[in-house]
Order: sequence, then C-alpha cells, then structure tokens
Amino acid sequence: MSFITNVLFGGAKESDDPTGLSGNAPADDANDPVVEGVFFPRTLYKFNGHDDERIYIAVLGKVYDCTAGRSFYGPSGPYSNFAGRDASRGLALNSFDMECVRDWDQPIDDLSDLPPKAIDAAREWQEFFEKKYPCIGTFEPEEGVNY
Amino acid sequence: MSLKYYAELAVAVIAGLLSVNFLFQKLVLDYNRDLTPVALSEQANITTVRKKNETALYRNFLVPIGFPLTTGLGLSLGYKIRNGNFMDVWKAIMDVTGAKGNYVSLPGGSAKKDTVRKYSLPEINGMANKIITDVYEKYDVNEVGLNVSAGTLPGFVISIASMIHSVRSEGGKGLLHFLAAVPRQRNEKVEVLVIDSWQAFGMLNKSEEWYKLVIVCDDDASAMKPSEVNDMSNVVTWDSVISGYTESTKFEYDPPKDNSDELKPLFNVTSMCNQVTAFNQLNLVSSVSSFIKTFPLHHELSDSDVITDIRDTFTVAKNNVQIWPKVFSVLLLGGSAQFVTASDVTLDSLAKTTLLVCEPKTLTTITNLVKESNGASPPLQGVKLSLATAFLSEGVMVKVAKIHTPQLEQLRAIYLGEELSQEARILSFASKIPSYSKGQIQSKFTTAQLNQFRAVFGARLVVELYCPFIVMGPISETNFYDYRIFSPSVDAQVTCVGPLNTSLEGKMVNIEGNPNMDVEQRQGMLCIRGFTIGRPLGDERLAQAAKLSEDVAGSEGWIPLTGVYGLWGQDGCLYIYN
Repeated sequence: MSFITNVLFGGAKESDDPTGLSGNAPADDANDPVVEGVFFPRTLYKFNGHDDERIYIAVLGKVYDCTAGRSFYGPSGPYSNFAGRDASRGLALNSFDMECVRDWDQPIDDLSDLPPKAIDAAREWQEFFEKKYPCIGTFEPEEGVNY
Repeated sequence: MSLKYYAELAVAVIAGLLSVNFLFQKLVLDYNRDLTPVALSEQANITTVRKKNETALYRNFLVPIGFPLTTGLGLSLGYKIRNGNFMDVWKAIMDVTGAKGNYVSLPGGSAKKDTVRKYSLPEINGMANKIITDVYEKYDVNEVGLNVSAGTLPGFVISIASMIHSVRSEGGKGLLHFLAAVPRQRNEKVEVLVIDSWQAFGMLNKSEEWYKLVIVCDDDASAMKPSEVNDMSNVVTWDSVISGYTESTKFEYDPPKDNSDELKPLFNVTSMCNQVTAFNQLNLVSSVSSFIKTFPLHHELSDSDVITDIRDTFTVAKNNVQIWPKVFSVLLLGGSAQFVTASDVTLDSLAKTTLLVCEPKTLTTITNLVKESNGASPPLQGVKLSLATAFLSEGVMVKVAKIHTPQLEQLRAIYLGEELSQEARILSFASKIPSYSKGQIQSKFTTAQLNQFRAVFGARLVVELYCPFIVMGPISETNFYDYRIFSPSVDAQVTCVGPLNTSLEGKMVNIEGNPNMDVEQRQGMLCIRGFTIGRPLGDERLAQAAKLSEDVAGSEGWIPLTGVYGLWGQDGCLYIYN
C-alpha cells in the first residue's frame, strides 16, 4: 500500500540508509576492505579463490590482490597453483608446476639456488603485478611455523 | 444489509487496493524507474584493500580501479593521446561557433553596468585580441590582477585574453590573477589591475601608482569619478580600452609536439585570507572533460543547451575559479551561456535556460519567482505535488506538478552548489587539525526538499560539493537520476553529495579527537587526490601542504581537506557531516 498511501497522505518512500547513522542500515561485512598488512604463508593460503573468493599472490615478499584476474589465477585457471601462495620461484623459472610452490608449513623460499637471470625475471613479473594489481601487504615467515 | 455484507465489502476493497498496488509496483514503477535501486547502491569503485587508520579508496563508478582518472580531453597528437589545454578548448569553441551562432550573455558591457547583452564568440574573441595588443603587448604585462566578476563582460574578456596570451607568450606573460579584494600590499608581479568601479578606485588610496595600468570597469561620465584621474596616464576605463575592436572569427593554435603547453599555468587566485593557489591547464581540461562525462546516455550536452550561471557578487574570486569548466563545456558543444548576478535574478533573465547553476539561496529565490508568476497556485497543485514527490521517491520522474513558465520551459537540470564553509582553514594546511564541529556545509536542503524542487521545476537536480580556491569544479556530484529520500535522522546529520568527480579519488583518514568516528564504518576526515586540485603557491605553503599530506594521508599526492569530516555510504556516495 505504500505508494497509494504516500499519494493520499503526502508521504514519500524512504530509501535504505547507506550511511549506517540511523542504526538500521543493512550489514555489508562481506565487502569490507582488507587492511593492508603482514601476511604469513598460513594466513595467505586462505585467499586462494576457493576457500575465499579473493585471490592473493605473493611475489618477492609482497602480496598482491589478484582477484580481478580470477580467470587466470582462480580455480581451474592456468595459474591456479599460484593463488594464495608465494609465486616467486614459479615466475622466476616461468614454470607453473606444483614443485615451484611450497606449502604453508614449509620455510619461505629464499630463491638462493636460482641464477641472477631468473631473479631478474621474477623482478620483472613483480613490476607487472605492481602495475596491474593493488599491493596489499608484505609476505613474511611465521614464527614456529616457517622457522 | 447485514454486518456480514459490510465485512465482505471491506475485505474486497482492501484486497482490490492491495492487488492494484502490487500491479502498479510491478507494472508501472519497476518499468519506469530512471535508475534501478541496484545502480543507486553501486555508485563507486572501491579498492578491496585499505591502510590502517584509513578507509578504502573511492572513485566514481565510471573510472575503474587500476585505470587512469579523467585527465583531459583525449586529443590525438599523431599516434599519441594528449590532454589538451585552454588553447585547444578555445580553438574548438571558435571552430564550432561559426555554424552554431551561439552566444554568451553578459552584464556590464556598456556604460550602464547592469545592462545585459548577448555577445557572439567572434565579438568576444575580437575584444580579447584588442586587449592583448593594446594592453598586454604594449605594456609587457607580467600578471593581470582581476577584482571583477568573470561573469561580466570585462571579467570574461580579460580572462580569455589572459588565458590566450599566457600560453602564447614567452615566459607566460599576462598571467591571470583573480583577487578576492583590491590588494592592500604590493604584489610585484601584478602589473595591471582591473577593478569594478570608481568607488573601488577610491579605495586604492594611491596604490594605483604600483601598476602600469589600472582598468576601471565603470562609466567614464560617472559623478563618482575622481577629478584627478584625468591627469593620470595609467588609469583607463574598460570602454576606452576596447573601443574600436573588430570581430574576429579566426583563432589559430598549433600545439607543440612535446606537449609543453599542457603544464603551463592557467591562473592564480588569492583568497580573502591572502592565500594564493595556482591552477594549470591540466586542471581546466580534466575538469571540462569530467563535466561532459557526467551527462547520461541520450541526454548529452548539445548545441541546444543554454547554461545560466547565477553568482553572488560578494564572492568574486572563488566564483571566478569555478565558472569555467561548465561554461567551456557547453560552448565546446555549440551551446550558449548566460551570466546573471544573484541580486538581479528575474524570470526573464533566465529565458531559454536548459542548465541552471546556482547556490541554495538563489534556488529558493527562483522557486518563489516561479510560484509567484502563476499568481494563485495552480489548481490542485497540492495533490499534484504529493503525487510527483511520491513518484520521485520511487525513482520515477513525473512532471505533473511542474509549474509552467515560458522562460524555464526547456530547463532540464539544476546544479545546486554546496560549499565547504571553512575554506580558510582548509587553505592554511595547518599541522594542528581541529576535531569535528557543526556547520561544515554552508546551507543545505533535506532530500525531501530537493524532490520538491525537482517536482516544481520538472527537471533533474544535481547536488555538487565545492571546495572553493583549491579544487576547480566540484569534488563530487549526485547522479542525475538519484531522487532518493533519506530518513530525517540521516538528513539531520549528513548531506549526500554523490560519488566523487571522475577526475578525483578520495579516502577518509582517522583523526584523533573524534571518538564518534570510525574508519571501519567508513567515517573520518576527507583526503582527495587527482587532476582538478590547485597547487598552493609559495615555498612555505607548499612545504606545509606537503608535510600535512605526509603526516595525515601518507603523502603520494593526497591533499587532506583539513577539518572536513564525512563518510562513505554503502552506495559509494560521499556524505558530509552537517
């Protein structure tokens, strides 16, 4: 009856409150932005596009939000191995094999066995990520888990 | 007739009304909405990440995250894209005007200052050429101080002449400098001063000797004219400066290959508190471009548009910064522009207007004029208004309550400029940031009142937020089709000013001393960055601004608007605390 009563009594339909000031705004926690910060292999793993819709990838100590590239990094995408993990070695060697990524309970890959050329390739990839995706934090080892 | 009969009748009537209401909602309202509720709740692009003590970054929904903001006109230079500058804009305006015959209507052209006349663009171009040769080149002028409204003939023409000459000449000679008041202290660079009247001339108090030339925009035969002026070789009137000008349809501009013109200064502006801000060509073109982009599909700017800009004469300098983006946009597409002084508003002065730019106070005045023009209220106006506002609150524009006046018959949009009131505080870039206090917006209407204006004028109404002296053009503007009404408690606390302009992006930062604000609830102090923001002039102020930016907003080009508190709605719009 809202429209007819509004016409008859001179009222108007009130829209939902987007500000949250009136105390009856709809909750919207799902889309809350993530605070930029420190990620451990354990906390990063969750963001693999499967357990969580968002896809985060670590490259040379920095974490990028690659959710926009879901078709590449998401489940069943060509680079889905990288989602939620440290992709540095894979990018350096241009390999998408599972051997190039480590599980979250392993020490962080320091790439010390790689030739300088491969490290440079990883740096180039990092520049690409920097331009394309927002950097959301750093990737660090967790005490008691990774060292 | 038994009780049962009445009960059945009542049930039947209620069931009938409910089904009519249901069908009406589904068949009429849902199909006639200008914008769906989903679109209204998704008006911004928001980053998925935020820094500690800050909200996420917000942008207009037209500029996705990761893509560039609106930077300019996107002109081609060989295979490259360039942003353009004022000269490109003016050349395009002069090219278009030959076929369209559009005009600029301005007061102050003759000895009688209130006389309003239409000037063709070749006339304005011719007058500007005359000023350039007879004043700027002859006196080799560094800067031109303008203490006249750019919405008058002298102000408009001198502004155009300066903008042309400062790009063309070596070293940016003839740079425009808008002044809020007649200078009390000497600015060595300002060599020509343009003032409004002999009365203002009297207040110069011998400081006329500082200038190579003082142009007085007043009647030469006025009784107010001091007699000693006749002996002064550096004091002339506007009429004498432009006498003998010839119309000029041609305007040539060949952009340099290195895009160096795009970084040249456009003008400087001095506020009432003597703080100077510099604007450059990029500020202008990005602002023009973002205004053109605001128009929805099938309702773009066209040569049939007439923009009427109504300004208060008491706030000359800040208005002079803001009039250009909209006026140039309309002229670029072959439309016309008219300028009206707020105190002289009549319905006839608004004739043929399609886009109306005004402040809250003036909008009330015009509404009263429209209502009075019909004498007694039109029949059933109360019922029509109630019907129109009910439809509007559902998102459907109906013109049933429009009060018809021949002058405003073609009106399609009203731009209501809301201004941040503490401009001096924002301009100071002081390191101590005050906590929130009421009165951030100069004057506001409730969302229900805005819909009443939409109903009475039968036109869209866009609320814009301005930060005078710092940002050219609006910081944000509401959607053409946003007719939402908020609850009185929301209206009492905040003003919805829509998503950010496409040339800017913004975030809120947490400032200590505001326990009621929480960045997790998207509340805090507003910081902006983008292409329409001016640069504080002077090493000390620039350093102060850079330090404040670093301390509060993490540098990276962010400009904190000191003491401006607001919040991002879940719809992506900016809400400023009242």
